[in-house]
Formats: sequence, structure tokens, C-alpha cells
Amino acid sequence: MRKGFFEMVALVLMAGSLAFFYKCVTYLERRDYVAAILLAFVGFAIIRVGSEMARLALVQKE
Amino acid sequence: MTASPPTAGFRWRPPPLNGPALMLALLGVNVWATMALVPALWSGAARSSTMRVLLLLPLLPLAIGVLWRRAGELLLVFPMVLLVPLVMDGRMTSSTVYSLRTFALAAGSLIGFLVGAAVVLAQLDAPARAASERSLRPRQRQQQGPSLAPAGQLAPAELPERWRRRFRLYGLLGVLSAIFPLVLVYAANFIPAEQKNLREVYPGRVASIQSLINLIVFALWAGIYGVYFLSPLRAHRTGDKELTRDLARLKESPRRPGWIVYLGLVAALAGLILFSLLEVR
Repeated sequence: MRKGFFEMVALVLMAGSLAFFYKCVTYLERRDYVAAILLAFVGFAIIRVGSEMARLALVQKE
Repeated sequence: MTASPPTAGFRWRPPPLNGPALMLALLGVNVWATMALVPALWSGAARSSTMRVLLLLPLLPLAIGVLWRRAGELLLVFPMVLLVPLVMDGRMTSSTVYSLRTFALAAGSLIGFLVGAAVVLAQLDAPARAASERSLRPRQRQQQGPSLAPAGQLAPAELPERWRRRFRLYGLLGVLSAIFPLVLVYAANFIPAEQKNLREVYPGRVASIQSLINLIVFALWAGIYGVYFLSPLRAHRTGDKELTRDLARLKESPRRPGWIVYLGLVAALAGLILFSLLEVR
């Protein structure tokens, strides 16, 4: 379980952040700039955590 | 009298023409035809002589890259030069040229070419290993005779678990880096309801606003790719010493993350999945 934990969390977070960026672009088309910026920030936060999880999975020794 | 040193001059070698080179050439010509030639013929942009020259221009870096297996020409210069005719004539990228199907075809061609080029370039002979470098081979392999895998590679069964996991992650990041721009470009250009909404919100300025949104999407993707996709790999290339040091310090620290941290992580993941299910329909 622990072996693939960081790998799995990295995948879920990085793929999940895509949903926020997707909605960000659609809000941009609706001229709702504030919502678009907020969603972009949420997306950045999530993908950052995903990226850190990927780093942990890459350095994991055992 | 002193003896003149041996001249280490330039030796021209004929380019190797084999199966991989032919496959790369075909993939490249496919991308060129899909993204430049057919749109130019379809939109009528190919009528001017300047545009005909610009259309032929991408074939030069492609030929150099294919014949001499040069990564820079194949993976950077060719796609960039391919954009020149598209930028010079807006008709080639207008919504009348690209429907969802033709976009999928063009994107598939480009991804196929990039993956094919990366695979062929990776198959080139690996440089000789320095004495200070460690091998991925387990020690018992030295007693079992030489590996049947090509130089610089190990058969999957020989790889330690941590390297299998790393290769899985490399593949995962590669797949995600193809999915991200596709989904973002789809969101910007091909959702019927949003396109209708765009026409209502920006009457008479749809084309320019859509170009601006595409530029924002491109900048967003370039930033995401550079910061969040490449940075873990860049750090990993040198062993990610900073993270390893932090982990070692955390291991010795009396303050370890408690159950509340894991609860927070699970709650964040549940919220993420709930949002995705509610919003992306």
C-alpha cells in the first residue's frame, strides 16, 4: 500500500487540478474573471502538492 | 623540427538511412501535411508564392533532424517553424478549418511525431559510462554473464522496484503532459455551449477574444509544464538532495505529522473528487 501511495496521490492531484484549470478557461469565456482567477489559484495549489508528491515518489528508496 | 600534430578535422559521414529514420520522416511529413499543407490548401492561403515558401520551410529542419538524429531540430525547431505559416495567415487556424475531428487528427499527429522522435532518439547508443558512475545492474548479474538488453538499458525484470516506480512516474508525467493541453484547448475552442455564450458576450469580437483565450491557455500550459512537470524531474536528475535532506531531518525530528495531517489530505482529495463530479459534466 505504502509503496504506491505517493505515486497514486500525485496522479490524483495532478489530474484533479486539470478540472480546475478546465473550469477556469470556461469562466474566462463567460467573462467571469474573478472566478477564473480564483479557480486558477486553486488549480495551482493542487498541482503544486501533486508535484511535491511526485518528488517524494521519485526519491523514495524502499 | 617539430612534428605537426595530427589534424582532428571535420569528417563528413553519410547520414544513416534505416527504418527508424524512415518512420520519423513519415511521422514528420504527416504532421506537416496535417497542420500546414492541408489547412493552407483548404483555406486558399497557399495561393501566394511567399506562403508556398513558408510552407516548405519546416521540411528543412525535419530533414536535418531525421538524417542526423538531432533532438533540437526534431523536437524544437521543426514544431516552431511549423507555426510560422500558421501565424502569417490567420485563415489557416480559423474555426472553419479546425473542427473537433480535424483538431483531434492534428493533435494525434503531433503527439505521435513527438513520441516517435523521443523513442528513436532514446535508442541511440548511450554514452560510455564513467568509472565513477554506478550501474543499475544488481551485483549478482556480474556472475550470471552479460545481459541480453541493449547497451545502456536493462530488461524490465532486472530493474529494482524503485526504478520501475520511477519509470512509471516518468510515463505518467508524459501522459499527463499530453492530456493537459488537449483538455485546455478543447475547453477554449470546442464546447458548443461556451462558444454560443462567447458569441453572446462578445458580439463581433469572437475571433479576437478566442485568439486571446488561446494565448492565455498556451501561457498557462507553458507555465504549468515548466514549473510543475519539469521541476520534479530536474530535481530528481541530481538526486533531489534538498528533499532527501529535509526527509532525513523530519525522520529524526520529534514532531512527526500526526493523524490530522492525513485526515486533511483525505478531506482535500474527497473535496477535489466531489468538485470534479459536480462541476465537470
